[in-house]
Amino acid sequence: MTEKNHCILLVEDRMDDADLVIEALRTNRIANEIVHAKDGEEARDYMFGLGPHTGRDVCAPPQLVLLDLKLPKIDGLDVLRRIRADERTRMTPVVVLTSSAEEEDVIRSYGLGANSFVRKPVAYDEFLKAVRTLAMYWLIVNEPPPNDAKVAA
Amino acid sequence: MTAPEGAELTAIRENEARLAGIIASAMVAVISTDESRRIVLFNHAAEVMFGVPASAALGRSIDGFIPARFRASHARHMREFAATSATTRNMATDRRPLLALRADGTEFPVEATISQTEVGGRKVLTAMLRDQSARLATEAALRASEQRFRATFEQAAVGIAHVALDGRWLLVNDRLLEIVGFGRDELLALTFQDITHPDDLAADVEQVGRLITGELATYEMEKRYFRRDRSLVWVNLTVSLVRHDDGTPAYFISVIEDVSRRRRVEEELRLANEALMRANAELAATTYAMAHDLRSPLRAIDAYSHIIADEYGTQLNARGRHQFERIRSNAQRMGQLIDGLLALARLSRGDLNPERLDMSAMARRILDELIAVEGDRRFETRVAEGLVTVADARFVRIVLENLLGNAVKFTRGRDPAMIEVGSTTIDSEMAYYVRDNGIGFSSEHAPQLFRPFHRLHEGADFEGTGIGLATVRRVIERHGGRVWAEAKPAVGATFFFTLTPRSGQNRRSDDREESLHFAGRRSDG
Repeated sequence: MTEKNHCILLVEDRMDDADLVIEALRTNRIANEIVHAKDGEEARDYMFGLGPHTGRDVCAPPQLVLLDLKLPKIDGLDVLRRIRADERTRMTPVVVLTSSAEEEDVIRSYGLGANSFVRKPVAYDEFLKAVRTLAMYWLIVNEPPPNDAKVAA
Repeated sequence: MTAPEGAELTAIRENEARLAGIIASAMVAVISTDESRRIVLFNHAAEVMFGVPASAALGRSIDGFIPARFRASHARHMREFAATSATTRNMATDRRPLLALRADGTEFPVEATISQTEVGGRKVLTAMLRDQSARLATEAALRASEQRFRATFEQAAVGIAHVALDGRWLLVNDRLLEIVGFGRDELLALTFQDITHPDDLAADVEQVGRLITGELATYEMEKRYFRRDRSLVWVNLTVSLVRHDDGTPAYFISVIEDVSRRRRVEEELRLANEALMRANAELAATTYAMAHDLRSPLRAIDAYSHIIADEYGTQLNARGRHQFERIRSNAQRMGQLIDGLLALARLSRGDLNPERLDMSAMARRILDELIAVEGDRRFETRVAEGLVTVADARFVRIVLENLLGNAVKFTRGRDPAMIEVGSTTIDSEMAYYVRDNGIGFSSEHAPQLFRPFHRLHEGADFEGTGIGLATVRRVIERHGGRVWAEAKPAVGATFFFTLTPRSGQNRRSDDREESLHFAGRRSDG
């Protein structure tokens, strides 16, 4: 039996933004382990147990993926597509957390199966509030899919 | 000589009577004279032709019917003819018609034959005359018409040709030769099919077919000819079909105008326009990407100022804490500016989706929302019923949100604040307006209002980014409308806008700036 993975996978190429998300999570007393992927490739490696993450139990996906869209190497939407295409990760909650509010990005994200789309506010107060709200919801209020979830039908 | 008698006499009389009848009813004028030029016979046709009764003509000299200047030569010709043994002669040549003289003194051309007989040992000369005025006039008209046709054909500024049913060039003018660069003989040895660009040939031939069946009276098309040097020339071709009297097709008349210059200009315009649109799209995309990327560092500035103030606030004095606040409020304000820019850039992209729209309902909803957050301020609002238009709902919402937001904002301190939304007709155009009794502004500043980042009222009283009206203008511009303002300081402001292009006005880029700014309208303020 695979153990529950309570990790948050944070996919963010800008150190400032990554640090602020982590800071905001900590400020809001979210204690989950945070794995920071600095580009789309690192995110993929973590999700599918490749490269430095070889041997990781792929059947235990992170509890939440916070995904930026504009990423080096593999684009955020592409990461999302791969997560949704794989039987083991297709139900993992993915929240797109990005600076963009371009309608096209919103539509494509949902089209590829994002669970939520949050635009990062510039003002730190609002930023804290946004991170708190989404962490509360996805980590506490929301019931995550079971690890060994297979297609029911 | 024996006088005729009995039956012979009767036969002669009958013959004479028959002859007299023929002469009397002949269509040609018959005039006989004796050797001394005295008229002895003058038939009815002669009476009509010369306008004189036979009774007045008989016994008079023939000279009375000949213009004075020809009388001598006429008499000479008659004598010469009488001296010959010839029985008839044509008196006029084709080139020089004979002229006769009517009783009223007018001259007219005649064709005449003359004959001579001997009656009872005396010579009788008989002229048969046909009036030539009508024939000569017709011929002259024909000649003139022919000359006009020649002149038109040869001096036309467009190429003209007659083309045989099988496509051979029959008749071509100089201009056409210039257009296609062939010599006349070279072109006449070819068909129109030979020099038509293959891509244009099918359409041309099809139209020709419809001319022949009578389905079309004429057709016009733009097509390409190969010139003699194989270069292409664009022409506008107009073709009609000439038919024989029995309706069968005879030949085509083609009018060929060189339009390569126009086509070239059009093509250049199209390319320039495409380049402009590309540049605009790129600019919008760049603006968007830039504004986007600017947000991250701002967020970091704001966040770290916040964190420092939070964690080390106790080590700072009031002045230091205040300065951190200044950093943060500026970062946040810049964030708003960037958001405004993003919104503006977004407006320039994407398609318009016009639909029927109840602006009255929309305005009321927006006003309610805006007023709800204004606490205990008192408002008097009036929104006209039935403000219905066809426009993109998202964009019209942006216009109303901005204009009504301004009205709510700039009436602070008024009790009650009065805001009115309505429509009016200006220069036979339907214009909508938003009016308030707020702080207003001087009309001379009005044009600047619609430029991005321009604000008339600085400071904390009236927060804002200065992008709202630029956004309004962009939206209205995209609908082909205009926006302008009338205002008076301390009295209020009215913003007018239209959502459709002015009828009959082709908007050009160079008059755009002007039409957006007030179109010469000034307030009396």
